[in-house]
Amino acid sequence: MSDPRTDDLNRWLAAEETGNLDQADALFARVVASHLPILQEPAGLTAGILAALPRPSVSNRLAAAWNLVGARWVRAAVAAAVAVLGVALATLSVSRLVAFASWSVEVLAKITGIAMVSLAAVAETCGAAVAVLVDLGRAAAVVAGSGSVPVLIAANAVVACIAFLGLSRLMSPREEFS
Amino acid sequence: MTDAQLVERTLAGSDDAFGELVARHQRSVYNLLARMLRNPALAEELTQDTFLKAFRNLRSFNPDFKFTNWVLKIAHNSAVDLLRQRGPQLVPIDEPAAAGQRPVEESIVDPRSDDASRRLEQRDLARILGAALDRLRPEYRRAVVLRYQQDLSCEDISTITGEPVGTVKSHLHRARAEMAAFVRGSGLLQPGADGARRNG
Repeated sequence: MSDPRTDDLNRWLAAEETGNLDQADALFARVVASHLPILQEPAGLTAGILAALPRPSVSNRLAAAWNLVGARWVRAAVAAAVAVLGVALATLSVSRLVAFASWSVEVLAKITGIAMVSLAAVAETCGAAVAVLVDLGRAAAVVAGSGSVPVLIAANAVVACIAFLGLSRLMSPREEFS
Repeated sequence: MTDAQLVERTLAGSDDAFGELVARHQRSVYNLLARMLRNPALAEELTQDTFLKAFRNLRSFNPDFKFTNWVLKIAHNSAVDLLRQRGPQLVPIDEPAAAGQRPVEESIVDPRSDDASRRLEQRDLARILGAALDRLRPEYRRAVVLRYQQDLSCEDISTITGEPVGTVKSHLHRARAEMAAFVRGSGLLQPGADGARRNG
């Protein structure tokens, strides 16, 4: 019994007897780790469990697909659209439905056209803005390269002062109103 | 990949992800059930049942908690239900196993044993400790298994068994004392060994 693992056993028993609970707890953990291994599961258990899993039904697959849509507002919108379509089909005649459909297509085409024009305008504006920015960049590069930056800063300061004085006079109360 | 991510993938329809979860946790579940039920065949059956229940109720799993605790709780509750239905079946460890049932201790594998006498000694000690564990009350036994074999904290054990932490600690303390008394009375330890006291 000079094996260190049986020494742990003896020390655990001694710790239990003397009431040293923390030591007994730690030593017992070592005894269990050395002498009482975890029982091994039978081979093929995983395969058996996976084989026994319920196969998803069509409704489950649909539910999973529906869950993928996820967001509540998407579900609400889809549900509302289906409800409106159902009411329309139930209440309107075929000729009215056809007229409504053609009108819808027409409106959709118009909206698409407007959207395209708007997009073109936005693109054009963006292009102009980029051109202006490029010109400004070039001007800044020329100015920085010419060594006249301090002069320009001073000129700007003078212009700002003049503007400030002018605005102060304009904004001050006039004599006839005081 | 974490357990929570595997759960997410399983919910998205991946059987492989669930297979990985099973591979990770089946030993803990089987060990707990085999120790609680003391019947390898029943433990195997209930392990399968536990994972099927987990699969069906995976949507109710809260990823803020540990998957280990969740699946062990399912296993524990299933075992408690079964024990209530069938009553305690005390099968002494030394008795031959019933037909078709492997004795629990046969499952023990100790790769450290390198010679015949050491192996015999190891086997004796493992058998005596196993027998001591088997003779504990079920609530003591599951506490020992979860704390010292699965390395769970008293808080985790409390989550799994539904008992207050103080009760779990008390069970562990009493279980150790009873096992110590059993080992002392087993005659395994030589006279004069440090700390060894024979009861018989």
